[in-house]
Amino acid sequence: MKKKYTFYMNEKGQLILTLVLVMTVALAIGLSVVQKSLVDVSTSTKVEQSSRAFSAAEAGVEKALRGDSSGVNFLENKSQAAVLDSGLLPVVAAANKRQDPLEYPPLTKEDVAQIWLADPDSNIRLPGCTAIDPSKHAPVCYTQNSLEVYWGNSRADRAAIELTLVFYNGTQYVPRKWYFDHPETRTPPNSNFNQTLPNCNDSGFTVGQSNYKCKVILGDATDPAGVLPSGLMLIRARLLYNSNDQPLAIWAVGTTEANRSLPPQARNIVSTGVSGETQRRVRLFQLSKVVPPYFDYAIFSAGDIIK
Amino acid sequence: MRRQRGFSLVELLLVVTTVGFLVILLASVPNALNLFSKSKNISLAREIATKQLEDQRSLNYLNLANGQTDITDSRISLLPSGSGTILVEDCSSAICTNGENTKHITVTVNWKNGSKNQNIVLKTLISEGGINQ
Repeated sequence: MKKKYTFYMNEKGQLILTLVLVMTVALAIGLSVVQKSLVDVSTSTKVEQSSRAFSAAEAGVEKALRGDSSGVNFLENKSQAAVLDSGLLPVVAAANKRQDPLEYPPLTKEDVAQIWLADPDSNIRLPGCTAIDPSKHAPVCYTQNSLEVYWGNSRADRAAIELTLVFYNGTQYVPRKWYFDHPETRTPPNSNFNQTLPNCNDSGFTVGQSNYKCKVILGDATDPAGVLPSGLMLIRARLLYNSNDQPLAIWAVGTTEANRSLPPQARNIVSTGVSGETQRRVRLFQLSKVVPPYFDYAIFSAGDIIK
Repeated sequence: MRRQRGFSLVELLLVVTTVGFLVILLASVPNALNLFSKSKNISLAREIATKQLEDQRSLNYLNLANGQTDITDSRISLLPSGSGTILVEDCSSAICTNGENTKHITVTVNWKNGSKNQNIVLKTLISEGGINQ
C-alpha cells in the first residue's frame, strides 16, 4: 500500500491540467463558431420573412387603393396582410356634435399640408358650394368665421407655421397669409411672425390622437386679419424651423352641420403584413386632389412667371 | 502490493471523453461553415428579389405586361447555380375579389445550397393608380 501511495504522489497532474485547458479553449472556439453561424441563419431568415411581410403589406395598400380593404393572403409564400381603412376623414358628425379634427401625419420642415375647406368633389360648383347634380352628392363646405389650427409636438424644437388661406372675394380667388411662431425669441429675432396670437405651452393641447404644443384660432376676435371671409376654398400650412417631423391638426369650430364641417378629404390606410413571426406595417395617408408644391410660389407670385 | 501498470478507469474515461468531444467539435465545424454560406446566399437572394420588386413598382402600370421574364441582375451569378424569374399576371379572383385592375407580381430567386435547391419567393400587388403610380 505504501508503494502505491508513493506512485500517485509522483504524478504532478500537468497533463490533465493541459488537457482541460485545451478542451476549454477548443470548446469556446467551437461554440462561438456554431453560435455565430446559427445567429447568421436565424437573422437572414428573419430578414427574408420581413421582406415577404413588407411586400404583403404593400399589396394590402394597393388593394385598398382600388377600393377593397379585405387584405391579402398569399398562401404560396406564407404571407398575408390585414388592412385598416379609415374611410374619408374627417367624418361629418351627427347633429349637435363637434366634428373630429383632421390630423395630418408629421410634416418635415417646409413640407406643405393642404386642407380643403370647400368640398373637393367634382360634383360641387365653386364658389357658393352648390351641387351640380343634387341627387349625387350633398355639398360640405366650411362657412364659419373662425378655425382652430394646432401644430408642433416639441417646445425645444420649436416649429413656426405659415398658413395660406385661399378664398373667393367676389371677383377672384385671393390668398390671405398668417405667420405664427412660439412666444420665445429667436436669434436673429423673428419680427415678421405673430408671436402673441398663438397659445404655445409645455402641457400642450390633446386633440384627437396627439398632443400639440401650439394652438391658434384663425379669425378669432384678437386676430389682426379679422374674421374669416366667405368663399373659403382651402388652407395650405407649412412648418418652418423644425428639425424633426411635427404633426398638424385642423379643427372645425362649433357643433356640426354640413356648413360647420370640414369636407371629408383624407384617408388613412394601415396595412400590416405578417410572415412567420415578422410584422411590417405600411401607413398611407391619402389626400384627394392636392395641388403641386410649386402652387404657392407660382400662382400667388407678385409678378408674372418668367421662365 | 504489486506495482500497477496500464491506465486507471478515470484516465481512460477522461481520454475517451476528450477524444469524443473533439470529434464532435470538429464534425460540427464544416456544418457551421456551410451555415455561413447559406445565410450569405439567403441575404443576397433577398437583396436581389427586393430590388426586382422595387423595379417593377417603379414601372408604369400600363407597362406591366403579363408573362414571365428572367432576372437580369448581375449579382445573381454570385449565387451557386443562381437563377430567377419575375412573373406578372392578372390578380386572381381569389385574391382580388372585386376584379380590380391589379397585377400580381411574383419574384422568385433560385440557387443551390450544396445539392439542395433553395428559393426565395416575394409576392405583391401593383394596381392602377396605386403606390408610385
